[in-house]
Amino acid sequence: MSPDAPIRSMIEVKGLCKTFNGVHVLRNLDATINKGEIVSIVGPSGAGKSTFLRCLNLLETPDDGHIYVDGVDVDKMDVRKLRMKMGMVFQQFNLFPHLSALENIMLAPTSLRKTPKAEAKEQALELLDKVGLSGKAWAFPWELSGGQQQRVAIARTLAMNPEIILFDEPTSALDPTMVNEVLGVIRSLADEAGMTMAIVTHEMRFAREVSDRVFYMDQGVVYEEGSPEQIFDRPKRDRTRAFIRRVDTVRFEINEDDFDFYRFDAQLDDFAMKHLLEPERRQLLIDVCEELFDNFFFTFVHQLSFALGITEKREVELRFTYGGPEVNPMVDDSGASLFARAIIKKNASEVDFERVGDENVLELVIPNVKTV
Amino acid sequence: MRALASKIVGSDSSPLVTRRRNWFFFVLFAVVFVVVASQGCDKGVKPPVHSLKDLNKPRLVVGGEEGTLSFRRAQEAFPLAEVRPFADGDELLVALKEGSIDAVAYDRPYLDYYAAVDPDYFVLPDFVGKGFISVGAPQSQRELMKRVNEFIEIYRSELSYDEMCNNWNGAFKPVESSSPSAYQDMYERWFKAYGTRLPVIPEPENPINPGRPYVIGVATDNAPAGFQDEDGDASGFEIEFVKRLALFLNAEVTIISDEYDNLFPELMDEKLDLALGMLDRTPDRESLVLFSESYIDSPAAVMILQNRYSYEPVASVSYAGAGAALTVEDMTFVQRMKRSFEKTFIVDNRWKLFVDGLTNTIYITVVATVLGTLMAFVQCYMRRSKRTWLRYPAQIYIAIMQGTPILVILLVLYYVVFTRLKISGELVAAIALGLNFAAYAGEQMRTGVDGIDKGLLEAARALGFGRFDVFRKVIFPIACRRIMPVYKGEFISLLKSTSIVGYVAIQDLTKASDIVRGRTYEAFFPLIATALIYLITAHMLASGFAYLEYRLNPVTRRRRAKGEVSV
Repeated sequence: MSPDAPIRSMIEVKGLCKTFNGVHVLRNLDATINKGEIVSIVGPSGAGKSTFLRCLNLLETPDDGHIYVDGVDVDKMDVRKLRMKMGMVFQQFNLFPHLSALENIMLAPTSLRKTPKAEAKEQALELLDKVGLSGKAWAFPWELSGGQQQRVAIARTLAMNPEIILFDEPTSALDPTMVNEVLGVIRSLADEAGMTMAIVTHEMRFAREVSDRVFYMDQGVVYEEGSPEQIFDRPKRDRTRAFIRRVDTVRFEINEDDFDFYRFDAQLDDFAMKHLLEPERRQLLIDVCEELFDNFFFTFVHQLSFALGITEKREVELRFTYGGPEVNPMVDDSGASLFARAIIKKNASEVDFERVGDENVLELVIPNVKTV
Repeated sequence: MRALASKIVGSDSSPLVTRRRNWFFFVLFAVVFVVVASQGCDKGVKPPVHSLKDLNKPRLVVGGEEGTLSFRRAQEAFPLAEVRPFADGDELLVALKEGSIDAVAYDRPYLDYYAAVDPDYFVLPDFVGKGFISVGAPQSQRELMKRVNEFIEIYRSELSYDEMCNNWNGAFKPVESSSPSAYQDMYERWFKAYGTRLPVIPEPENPINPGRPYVIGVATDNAPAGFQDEDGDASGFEIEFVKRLALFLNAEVTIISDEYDNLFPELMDEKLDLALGMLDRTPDRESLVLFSESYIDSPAAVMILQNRYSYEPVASVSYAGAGAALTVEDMTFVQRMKRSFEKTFIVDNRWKLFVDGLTNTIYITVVATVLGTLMAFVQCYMRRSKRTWLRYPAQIYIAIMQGTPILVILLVLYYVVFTRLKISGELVAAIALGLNFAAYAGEQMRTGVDGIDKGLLEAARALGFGRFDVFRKVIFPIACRRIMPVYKGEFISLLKSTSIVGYVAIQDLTKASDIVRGRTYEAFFPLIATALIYLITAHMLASGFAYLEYRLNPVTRRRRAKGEVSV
């Protein structure tokens, strides 16, 4: 993108809302992606990143809000025309199993654009060459590795000459050994001028290298956006910072009716073992959870979500998200046991309570014992 | 890599070219279907009937009363036409008037009477067959049979009254003294004046075989030739015949009151010395048992509607063709097989029955498959629909079809649903089997479609495909290939279940073998031959599906594209 080109928005999203079974996945989301811009979308799982992407090409129907593509409201566009303009690459590749790599790529141009077959074939072979698979024209999806399948899927999307490509976690289903070949192809596309791309990814280093701009999404909104340097090196807002520092997270959806504490305990244990947490902190985690669940949360909510993260500094972060009235367990008359409050106060270096929409968010940070 | 790619580009047999050949097969299939379908449908034209010959044509229907002599005669006389059994005579007349059958085969006296009452009817002047009603005997009873023939010769000759009365132990003494001969006396009594009681005929005074009577089986389910009178005693023309024969032979006899169907088996087992039951002398039977000369003229005639008739005389069907000279015991295995083969296929051009039967079987199978597949599509769509008013009817339909025997469905359609509509039995059978096929094939399709990864559909939609194109380009080809093996199995089982259509008077392959079996009195050969024909047909049709599976396999397309194979 040359710096003096006039900046024009390719995608403009205003007040986008989407609810699944009463859960607010997107809450009044606003975002703009400019023409020719590469935007990476990062954030914790459950933040609504994929849903946001899927709303853009109307694979999900938004409940509320407006999406403008090239200045036109998508509600007023033919969905098929929109999708021809906006390609999508999926986490699960989704190659058509009855067609060879070549035919997978040719299918849409010959059927939808009525491109003559010979021409479509030539183009398909060029695209295969471009993604480094010119020898696999007649290979069927089951004969290709995951990385090769994803590259064919990218070529298939490119065959429709889209102006925008949406990548929905393109490397999440891949073996670690195959991630780089796919990222390489995306990177080379990003280097070509003109293409607008939105990439949902967990590959932070890749996002940093390839993007013009990064969206950090959390709890259904673009929580913070900025240049890669700004988001990754100097995040302004708390949760962005917490997310960027975190090296691993695990998430539990807890329902009182079928909550199995021994299983939960085992999963916590697995996570702790993986990150070589000390036995003291492991036991502390379990104690805190047990106290909060039984004596506090379950007295007024049936379900809550619990995210556990480890940061680069080996801090343990706990985040509880629960519905119901605004109740902070750290307040004296909240109903939480004294013991719970006591151990939290004694061990947590940070305790944050926040009311987001109609949900309560409680964040605790348990510092690395050695540094305390 | 580049070189290979350009080679593929330049290759003539690219998958897109060869796919056109699939159209060729599709068109071929369509043509076959149309031809077969038109065969089943051109029932509207009713050709005029000049003679009996004109009735012996495929797709004409001659009705007869089940189990009667005239019915069996009609089956023999009209091997190419369908001879349809009816439960009673009144139904026959109704069917003829309605036009669902072309002719009625029945006893001449009745037909003359009907024609006299209703001028719409016309009785063809020719008899069906000449009446070779004969006495049967085991092959070991040649001497006895000679004597029986002597008796018949005298009894059918026109000797004077005195000669009748005074000779042969009084065996030919007429009851009505005015009758010119014993035969006419008996015929008048039994066939012109019903309800007659058996006249008193004395038993021989000094029999030649005291204590070792001849055992004579007489069918008494065959009035007026043989029946049981109100006292339960055997009576009828043939009983009188046997009593007179006993006098002539001067021998003791024991009359067994028998059923028609048992006579031949009992003769072959030598349980009977003689058997009477309006038995027809046919070449097939002659090779198994001995037959006397004909002892009665029992003409079966054919009645049609007056407006179909235009006169032109033809010779009556002859039974010249003689029996085998050798008895069964004298033959080697190979000779027996050869003879069985000839009896089953060659004599009377019976192979044509099999060919016609097989044609019908294939016709029904193909029509039912096409119909069933179309319905299965609809059913599959309805079952997958989100709308309950579409989904529930389909579910109920499947429950009914899967829970009811196919035979019962066939009978319901034939006798209840389609009785008033003039559509061919073959089509009714095809509809019944098609309905049943749809219930199963539709569910298979549904599992095939449901099993497709939703991600693929999303990918197709994200490329810009509309609902119909997603179905045509993605769902259909994937599901097709998945379903093919079970679909093939369903098709083969459909082919086999056509064997029940004989229940509604359709001559399919099984029915053809039944008919032949009924004439040759041999079970082994026709049944094994039929089983083989089914087996071969099923495998030929299955190999068609196997080819389809091969063509649907994407790897085949690659191999064709790379020029590794040419088909």
